[in-house]
Amino acid sequence: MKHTTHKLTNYETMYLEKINISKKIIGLIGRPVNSTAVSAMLETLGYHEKDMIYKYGYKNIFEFSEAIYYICLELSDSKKEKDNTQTKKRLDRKYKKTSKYFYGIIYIIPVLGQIVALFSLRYSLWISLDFNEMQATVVVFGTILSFIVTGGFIQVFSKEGIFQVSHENFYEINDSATLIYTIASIFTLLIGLIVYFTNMIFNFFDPKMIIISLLYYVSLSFLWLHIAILFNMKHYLTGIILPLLGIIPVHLIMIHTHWGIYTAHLIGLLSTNILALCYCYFILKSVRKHKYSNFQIDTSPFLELKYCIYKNFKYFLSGLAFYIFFCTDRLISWSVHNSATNPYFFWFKTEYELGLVWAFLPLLVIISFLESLIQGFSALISKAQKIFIFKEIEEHNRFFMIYYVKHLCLIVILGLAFIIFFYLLFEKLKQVEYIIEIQDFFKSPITYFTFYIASISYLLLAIGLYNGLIFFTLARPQFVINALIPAIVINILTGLFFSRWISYEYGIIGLAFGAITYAFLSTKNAWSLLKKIDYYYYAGF
Amino acid sequence: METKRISVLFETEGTYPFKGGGVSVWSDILCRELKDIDFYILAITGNPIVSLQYELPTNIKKIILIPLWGSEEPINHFNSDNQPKDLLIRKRRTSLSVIKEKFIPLFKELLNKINKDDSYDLKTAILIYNLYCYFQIYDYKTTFRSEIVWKIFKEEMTIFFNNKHDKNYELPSLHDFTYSLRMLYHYLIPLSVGIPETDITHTSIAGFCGLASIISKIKYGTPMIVTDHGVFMRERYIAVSTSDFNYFSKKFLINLSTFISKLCYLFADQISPVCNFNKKWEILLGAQPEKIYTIYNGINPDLFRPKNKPSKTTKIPTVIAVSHIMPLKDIKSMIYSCYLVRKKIPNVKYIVYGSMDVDIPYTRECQKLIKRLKLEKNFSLAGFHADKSQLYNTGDIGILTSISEGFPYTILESMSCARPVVATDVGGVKEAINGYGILVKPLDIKAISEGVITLLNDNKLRLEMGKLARERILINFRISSTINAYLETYTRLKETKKIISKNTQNIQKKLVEDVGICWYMDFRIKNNN
Repeated sequence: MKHTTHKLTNYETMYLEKINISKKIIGLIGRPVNSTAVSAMLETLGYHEKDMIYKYGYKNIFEFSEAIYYICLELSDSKKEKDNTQTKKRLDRKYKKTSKYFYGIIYIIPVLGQIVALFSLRYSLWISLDFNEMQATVVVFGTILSFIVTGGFIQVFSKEGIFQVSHENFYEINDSATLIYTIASIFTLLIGLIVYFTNMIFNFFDPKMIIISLLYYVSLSFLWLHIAILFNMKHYLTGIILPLLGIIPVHLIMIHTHWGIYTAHLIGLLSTNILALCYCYFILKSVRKHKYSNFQIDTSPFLELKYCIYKNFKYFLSGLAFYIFFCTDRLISWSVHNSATNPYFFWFKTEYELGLVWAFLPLLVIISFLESLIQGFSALISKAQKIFIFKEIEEHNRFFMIYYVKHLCLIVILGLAFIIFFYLLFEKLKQVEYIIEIQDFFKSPITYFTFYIASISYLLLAIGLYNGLIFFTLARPQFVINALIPAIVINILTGLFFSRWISYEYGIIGLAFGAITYAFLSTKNAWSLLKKIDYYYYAGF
Repeated sequence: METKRISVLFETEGTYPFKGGGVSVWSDILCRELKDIDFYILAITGNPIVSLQYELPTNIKKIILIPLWGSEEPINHFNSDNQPKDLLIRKRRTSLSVIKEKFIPLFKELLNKINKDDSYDLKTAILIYNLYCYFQIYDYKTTFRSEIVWKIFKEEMTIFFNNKHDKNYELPSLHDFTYSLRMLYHYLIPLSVGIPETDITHTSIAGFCGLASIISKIKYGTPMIVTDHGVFMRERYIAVSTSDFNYFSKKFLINLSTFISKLCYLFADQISPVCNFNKKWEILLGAQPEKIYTIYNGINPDLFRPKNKPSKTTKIPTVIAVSHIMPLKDIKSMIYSCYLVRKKIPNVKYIVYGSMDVDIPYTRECQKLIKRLKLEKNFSLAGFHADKSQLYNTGDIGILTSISEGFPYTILESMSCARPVVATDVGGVKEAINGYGILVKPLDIKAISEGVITLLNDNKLRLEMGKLARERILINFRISSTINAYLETYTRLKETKKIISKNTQNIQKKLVEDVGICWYMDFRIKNNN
């Protein structure tokens, strides 16, 4: 075979060099946006005006860049419209594979820890199996009040925490947490005083009872606030361990002294709160060290307070509304007047409460599941944005509507499965005849009745909660409020009607109707949001 | 008779007084030395939580902080006297019909201008002013967050894409649309700031902070000066092109930046690059050559004066760099050059003084590279040092490996300390060194290391070059020359304000005929404002 040697002409050498330069440019920046982008990159590679004139024969670098730009266009890969159906399918599957379904369990470990302590020691940090109805009334009233009063603040902590951490506003994390904590503390104490003086006028409880109840209320409120700060700062382990550590002083006092359960609980709560407060102070101070000093904008603390309220009011309201909704049926049923059994305006109804506790267990598991679902949703929504092209916005939105329906089905199926599981588990426990407390648990049909209605209501509530998490993810707290307020009204009206018309335990019907309303309205809101999720995702800032 | 002090609205972007670096050093010198000028600083920052990096002189009368990110309600930060109730009223006022009638026409025009990169004229500036007027009354965030804005954006960008469609064009994803509109929201936040009236506006970069100057010119007839350190668009091209964004997002960001930058050049009464190198870029971006007047950076040679190396480092050949740790400074090439130099000079020591927080992932990459090349004893990232004047004298030579520069202070400071530099030939570096140091191609690790070896091994050459470098600074780059040039510019431009004001009145007369401005005027009259 005969080889011919071909000497490159000047023009050809130059052309080859330009191709090399173009390849270099593509390697650095991909397809350049225009010829000026090429100029900028050429300069960073050390090409100068004089090279352009003497070496390449161009007037200047911009003229040379234009030539390179057109070669880049020829050379860069053509990315034609491709079929991304498979990618979309994988998107859904990938999520399913990687999601940790029960990641959210860390949020319920503190409660589970208390339940374990309760059954192994007969008391937890603030509950005892040996409480009589009066003691239970005192403590549970304080607990309910603490949930309602701090619920809004916990929601605000969560929202502020997520926002500031995502923007690495370390200074602001400290400032906003301190401000919200201060407001929450003042608010808690103020509500305590109001309840105390109201009681002085209306005599719901006797003075001693209300003082003990309020001591529990204040201690528990601070405990919730501290745990909320710890969880928002991602100090989960401390948030889980501290309430468990608090049981130690309770246990020691109960074993070694005769001070009684109230004192033991209050000392346990006080020591937990002191430890938690010190820890919170320490971590907030350490994040503040990320910045040297702050540029002081000329604003008064009062204005900052007003802005804090302005920014967070809807989140506060949604948290507050949720806990009001959650506790309404109890307060309605407790306040059904029966002079034989009710010495006071509110009185603990054991059979009713046992049914609620029983129904609460499946809800607890579902809540942990919801947390992982919403994390998957957040991750998926940003991934899907990159996969669907601009012509497929409708398809993108439909994808999420289907995804949502699948999730709802999953929640319902899992919810029903857990309800059945806990029902069968308790039925099994019933066979343990030698433990008197277990037999006491099942002796009243009211407990069963409450369990049946409450477990279904809580399942509906879980649907509402899932919708709420979607709304919070997309910064739309008003959708939560829009669904919760009518639900509360219906809960109160139907609860009052049935509990007064039939019997106190029919207060649970209020919860059922309220939950139906909440699930229906929030699902309706979620559906309309998902129809335009491209917009809501954009506007979630 | 006492003359009225000149007031200057001084605009910065990601620099003075909240960050270090060359532009901040220049800004600090300007504000500190021009004691008879009152400065109103309009500082665009990335985040609302910022810390002052400089002690402010008393002639800085006010700082308007404009955080582009990290704030739920950006307006809180620059309108500090605004009460939440005012914000609520403003939000309530921003109804859907208002957005539809008053904002959408402007928004469509804006998108059209951004997408076409050839329409920069007075009409464009009037559009900017109309948007400013709109945001003085209606809420910025509510407007941008509205569904109609998203809808129109999708429509307009789809039309634009379909028109420009070619076979090779990468199809934009939904994320590209979302990202682009959010970027627009963030970058145009300066439009919602109330601009104070001053005698002159001075923008330290032909970028987004320059919007205030354009508005001030139309509103008050204020003359405008632009100082270019590294050319904004040039650096923007590098940053955006090398980013991970999709093609569509890159294109949108570049178009948006070009749109603003070209307007700044169009409206500037004087464009003062810090070196002649920038001129060709400025002209390319629409600057009129007769408006360009270079003012070189200057330093204080008494502060940066030669001293002997400290005794403990006398025997260690030391290379000093004063630079942020960031990709534009190409610290990785510096590390590689150290690796090559060590083969010839085993006890060589490179010390880089500069913030390590500017680009934390990049800093980590550099630290890993040092470890991988086992350079822990030869290369150290020493972090930010407040007293720069002490640093250069601890070494034998200076080094700069940037891939893009304006007229870097570190070169001048090192030369002033009689420490010659090995530097990449970018921006105005050549104009500064002018033969009294070693120039190499950017990214050319071998050439950088050879330059360092030459200067470290040849004592006579190094000392002689250092001496001449110092003399060059004493003759050409004294702080007083820079300051006098700016004082002269301010004084001259102040005089032109009256003339511009007259022209502005004519423009405003025309604007009143424009529907967009009528409603603004009506609103102000109704509200006695």
